[in-house]
Formats: sequence, structure tokens, C-alpha cells
Amino acid sequence: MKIKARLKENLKKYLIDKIRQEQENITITSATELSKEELTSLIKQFDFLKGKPITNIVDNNILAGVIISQGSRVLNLSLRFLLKNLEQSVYEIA
Amino acid sequence: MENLGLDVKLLIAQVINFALFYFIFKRYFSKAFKNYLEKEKNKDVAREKLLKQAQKKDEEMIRGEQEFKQKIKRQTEAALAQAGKEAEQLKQQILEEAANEAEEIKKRAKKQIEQERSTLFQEAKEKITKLSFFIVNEALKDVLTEDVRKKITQAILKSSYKKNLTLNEN
Repeated sequence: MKIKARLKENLKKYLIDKIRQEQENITITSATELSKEELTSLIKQFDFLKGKPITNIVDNNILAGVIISQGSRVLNLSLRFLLKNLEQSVYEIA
Repeated sequence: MENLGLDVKLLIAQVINFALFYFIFKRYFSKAFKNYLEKEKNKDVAREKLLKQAQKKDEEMIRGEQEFKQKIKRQTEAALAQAGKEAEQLKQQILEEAANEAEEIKKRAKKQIEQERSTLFQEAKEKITKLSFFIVNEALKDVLTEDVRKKITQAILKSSYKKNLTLNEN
């Protein structure tokens, strides 16, 4: 099946915009919903959050802490991740 | 003479007859007869000699046979002794090889057991660790209240403060 060149161009543009938008957008995953104060505190602590659109997702499985992600880049500060690291350390030491 | 019963004429004829016989015999037959006798004697001597030689050869042959038999016997004994010695050596060699092989198998088995034990230990360790953390994870999910979660989040963020943390490629 042959796709029209104009349609193809539009699709390409749409996807590029979407990826750019996703890359711009920052997602913060937390165990409980973050209050405005907590968000402000986070922005204060991490300079790269300043001026970027932030979405807060609640995920009970991370136990506590936060996971900050932007596109394919991630900063994992969750209790689950810390426990996972501890598990790895215990396994290596024992 | 006639009174004695002797006939002179007959006696003379007999004497002449004997003389003639003697002359003819001596002249024509005695040599051949003598030669025949000589030949027979020589043959007897030769036969005797041959018999002695045959006896001597026979004795030599018997002696040779005995010597040969003894030689064969000695050689057989020596060969048997050598074969026995070689068999003993071979036996020793086989025993040594078997012992070495057994030792090698033992070592390999020991090593394999060690490896298997180590693998099992590793697996058990991994499973125990995973299970322990799974239990902790599940328990925390149930135990942690919203308030506690917030406190822990604060504590994590506080501990990461001034660490210059940034986003990393996943």
C-alpha cells in the first residue's frame, strides 16, 4: 500500500511534535499524591525541573519516595528501588 | 697190505686224485675263493665299522636329543619366567593405571560435588534474598500509612539533597 506523501509528512511532523512534547514533559511518580508545597520543594531541590510541565502519577508499588522521569531519562529515588539496591548488595556480600 | 684191507692201487689212485684236485683247486679256485673270503671279511669289517659308526651316531643323536630337550626345557622355563615377569609388570601397570583412574574419577566427582554444592548454595542464597525482600516489600505495602510514606519520602529527598542528582538514561 502506498501512503500519500502529504499524509506521510503530516504523520512524521505529528510524531516528532509528540516526542518533543513527551521529552519536555516531566513525570513524577510518587506513593502518595504530592501537595503543592512538596512539589515546590522538589523544584527547589532539582534545578532541571524549573519551568517544565510536571505530571504527578501515584503508584502504590513504589512504597515511598519519588521517581522523576523525562522521556527516556530517569531519577529513581523510590523506597522500592532502594530496597532493590539493598537486596543486590546483600546478595553480593552474603 | 691186502691183509690189512687196503688196496694199494686204489690208494695210489686216491692220492693222485687228491693231488689233481689240490692242483686244480689251487690253480683255478683257491684265489677266487680266497678273494671271496677276503671280500666277505672286509665286508664284515666294514659292516662292523658301520655298525659302530651307527651306534656312535645313535648315541650322539640320543645325546643331542637330550641336550636339545634340555635346551628346549631351559628356553621354555626362561620364556615362562619372562612371561611371568612381564605379566606381573603388566598387572602392576594395570593396577597403577586403574588406581590413577579411580583417583582421577574421585577427584572429578569431588570437584563436581563441590561445584554443585556451590551452585545450590548460590541459588539458595539468591532465592532467600529474593524471598526476604519480597516479603519486606509486600509487608511494607500493607504496613506503610500515607503519613509514614510522606515522612519516608521527605527523608529520602533530604538524604539526596546536595548530591547533585540528575536524570539518567534508563
